[in-house]
Amino acid sequence: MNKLPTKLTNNIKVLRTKLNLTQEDLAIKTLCTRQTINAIEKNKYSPSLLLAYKIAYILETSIEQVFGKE
Amino acid sequence: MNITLKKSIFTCSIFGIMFFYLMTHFIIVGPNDFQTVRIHMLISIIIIFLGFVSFAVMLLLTKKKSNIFDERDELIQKKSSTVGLMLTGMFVFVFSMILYVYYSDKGSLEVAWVWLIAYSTFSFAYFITSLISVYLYVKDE
Repeated sequence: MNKLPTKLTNNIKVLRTKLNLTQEDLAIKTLCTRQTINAIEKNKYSPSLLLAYKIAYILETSIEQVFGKE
Repeated sequence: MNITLKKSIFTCSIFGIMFFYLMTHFIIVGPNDFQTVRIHMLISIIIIFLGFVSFAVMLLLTKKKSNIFDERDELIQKKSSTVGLMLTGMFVFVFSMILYVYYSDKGSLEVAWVWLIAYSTFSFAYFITSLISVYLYVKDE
């Protein structure tokens, strides 16, 4: 049986760079602060499921593509 | 720096100054002089008044509908309130116990101490809660 993930990683920086979005742009579109996006990117804050879905939607991908296990 | 962090820094500064001023002033002057020499009480009341006015002005100036208060802000506020409440409780307990031990032989204590406990608890609660908020925001930056 596979081990349960203990930590999540994310590809937000890569995905938003592809779409030419800054942290500020993504924050405005997801109705949160730039600091929150920055904290999520650095894996210092785990977003709620709703915010994770919003980020994935803005980045035009699925939630699994944005967040993954370490 | 988002608006919530700015507000926390400002609140921390206002109530930090108020708290440390009240404590040092009272301890230097002493409970007897603080109660009998009116100027000491008057200066403290002015400082407290100015503190509250600046706090109210800050709240009014930062009140905008465009300000974003997101889920991380909410989480930080919850954490800082919980820890702040616990530390305030500890502060009151330790402060009261020190007074109890110090004055237990005398059997009574000057009533000015009660004034200090009231105002210092209030300012300490705001100071410590906002200080924890600032710490949590800076830690994640």
